[in-house]
Amino acid sequence: MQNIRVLAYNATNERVEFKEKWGGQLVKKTLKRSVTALTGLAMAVWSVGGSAAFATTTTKPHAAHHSMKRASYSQGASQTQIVLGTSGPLTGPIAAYGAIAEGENAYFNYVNATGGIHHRKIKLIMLDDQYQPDKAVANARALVSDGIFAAVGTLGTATNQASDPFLLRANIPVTSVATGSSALTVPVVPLRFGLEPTYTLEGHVMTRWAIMHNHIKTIGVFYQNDDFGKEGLNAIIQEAARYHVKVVAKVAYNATDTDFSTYALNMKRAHPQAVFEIGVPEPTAMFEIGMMQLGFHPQQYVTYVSGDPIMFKLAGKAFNGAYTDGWLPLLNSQKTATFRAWFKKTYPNTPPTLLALSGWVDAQVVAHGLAMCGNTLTTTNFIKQMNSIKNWMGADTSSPVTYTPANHFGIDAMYMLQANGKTQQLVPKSGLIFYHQVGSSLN
Amino acid sequence: MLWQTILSGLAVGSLYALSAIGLVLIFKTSNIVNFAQGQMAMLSTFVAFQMLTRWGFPYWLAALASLVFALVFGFFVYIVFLSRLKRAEVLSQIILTLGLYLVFRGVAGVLWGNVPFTMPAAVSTNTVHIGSAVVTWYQLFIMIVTLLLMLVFYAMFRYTKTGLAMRAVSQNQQAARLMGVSLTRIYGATWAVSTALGAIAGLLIAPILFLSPSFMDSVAVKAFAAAVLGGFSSLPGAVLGGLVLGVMESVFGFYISTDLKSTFVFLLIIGILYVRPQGLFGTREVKKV
Repeated sequence: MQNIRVLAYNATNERVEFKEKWGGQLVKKTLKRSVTALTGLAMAVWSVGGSAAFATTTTKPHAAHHSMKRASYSQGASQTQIVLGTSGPLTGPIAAYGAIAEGENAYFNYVNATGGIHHRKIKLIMLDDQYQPDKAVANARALVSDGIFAAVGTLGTATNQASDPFLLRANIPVTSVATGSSALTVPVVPLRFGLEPTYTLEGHVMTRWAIMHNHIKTIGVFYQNDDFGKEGLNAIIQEAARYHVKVVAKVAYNATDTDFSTYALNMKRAHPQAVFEIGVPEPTAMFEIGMMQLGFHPQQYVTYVSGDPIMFKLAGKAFNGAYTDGWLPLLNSQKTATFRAWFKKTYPNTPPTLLALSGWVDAQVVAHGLAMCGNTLTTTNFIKQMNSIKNWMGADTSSPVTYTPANHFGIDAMYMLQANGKTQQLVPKSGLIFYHQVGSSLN
Repeated sequence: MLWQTILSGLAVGSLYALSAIGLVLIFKTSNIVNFAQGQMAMLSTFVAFQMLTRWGFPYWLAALASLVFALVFGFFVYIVFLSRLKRAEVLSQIILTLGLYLVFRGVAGVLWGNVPFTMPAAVSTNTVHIGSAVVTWYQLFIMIVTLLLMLVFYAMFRYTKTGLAMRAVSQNQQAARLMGVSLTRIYGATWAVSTALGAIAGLLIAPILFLSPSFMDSVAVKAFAAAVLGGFSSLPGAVLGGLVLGVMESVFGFYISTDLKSTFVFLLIIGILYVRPQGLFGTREVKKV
């Protein structure tokens, strides 16, 4: 009988704790409460049955309570686990980008299997928004009520713009946003951290490199008709103007288009020496094929968004010789061996892509910030620690990660690559090119 | 350049036309707009893809298997889902096809993932010059297949007994049954055949748009537009609608604005329907008292 009373006390204690930390959905609470009660009951019955092993199971929660008093926690963090959340297009038209969330998941599996972060396991809640802003907002609400400590690698410009305000109001950090839109990092929002290079940085880097190294005189831009494409376009125009290079064609496509031959025709008519392509993989590939079929072969510069080996498969010969830029190491490099192994372990049927690697890296950065927090897993301390990450090379990126209270870009350097059709590989063409090397227009 | 824009437009328009034929076929017999048509085509295409690239079968065998799969699949969908609702409102049946759309999409995502694949093409994708314009052999092949399929099914509707039965069923189910037409057989056959048509469309379109669970989506929207433009119950109308749509997009995109080309094209369709509500080839419904 004595045993049963102790147990009841334990169960209540856990329940109170749960309410404080999660403070969220009532349904979840009742569910958890009944689960706790049921477990308690089961254990009680078991102990009355006289199992000797029971004594050890009862003492553990007490031990946990003692060390918990020394540590401090914000929502989503505890002695045993840290809850993170992400939202991305797991299904829908651009479900290929769901690979980012999968990369994150693979990394946290790796972390959990190798001891966690200071013995705390990471729990990642992955929600599907199909790249739709309204669904992203709904997911943000769900993540807040699920009591996440931070959001990590949420994908998309429009989706983040729609959902972030909700997370930020709930004082939840939004880390490693998976978009290169400057709108999310300039001006700095204390709780939000970028990671990928911005499309502005990319536009400047690629354009200047093309002018300096390949001496191009005229440029045509093929771009996605939204904030992503337009940011790249503006940067290209600015950088080109600096060197008096002409932008002779601006061809916008819409994400739902099926016919790219008209765009190719328009580009051919303007006949630029170099064509910059700021779009997602499938349309970019169809556009490249369209130009090739018209017998038009300009130099091509492709955004890192589509600078993935998958383009060799999609565009075939039309991608050969194209330039692109990157912020991640090559997929077949030694640096990504752990990624490849763990991604395969987590998703045996999905090939590891650069997108998945970028998700892996998103997770590495937030995990590093969490590790720096030690036992003070509060939002305030997390932000403080993140802002102190300087020239950190611990993530599988090709350039260091840096944050300060005034700079939340994360990655501030890229390098140029070229597509080699024979080996079907991207080959590095330059060293790292940094923000400060391409001028002041970025801030 | 005008000739090139028109030719490119015809090439892309035949994709719309090809997908529209299957839609019109089902609508003609059962008055149902099958929203799952594109997804059923997508699944059939994936069958061929699986055989070709994963199991190493030759192209013709994979394509044949895909067609057989589509025939069975279409019949299965009718028997298992649609026939249960045959006495329900047409609207409920249409909503059911919307549900199927989501189911098929989800299944394909689970089985094959969402990363796009390259699908091998049936014939060469080399280019050929026609006058001053360039087009690929493959695009010409698609145009020819589209026209052939249209002619075959047009003739079937017009001149065969099955065609007559199909028309009868669409006009009056009860009267047709009294005349000895089996509804299950006619509807089942229509679903089977139009799914196979979808498979042909999928097999031909996938090499151009890349194969992924969502690859038929954007074509399907244009196929609906093409069918509406053509009158929705006319096969030549759907094909012409598709071609007109493709050419309008291409010409407008080249000479006026690429930003607004889809917007413009759909405005134009609204304009046409304003003048001819029955579409270009549709027959006006007249109720006689």
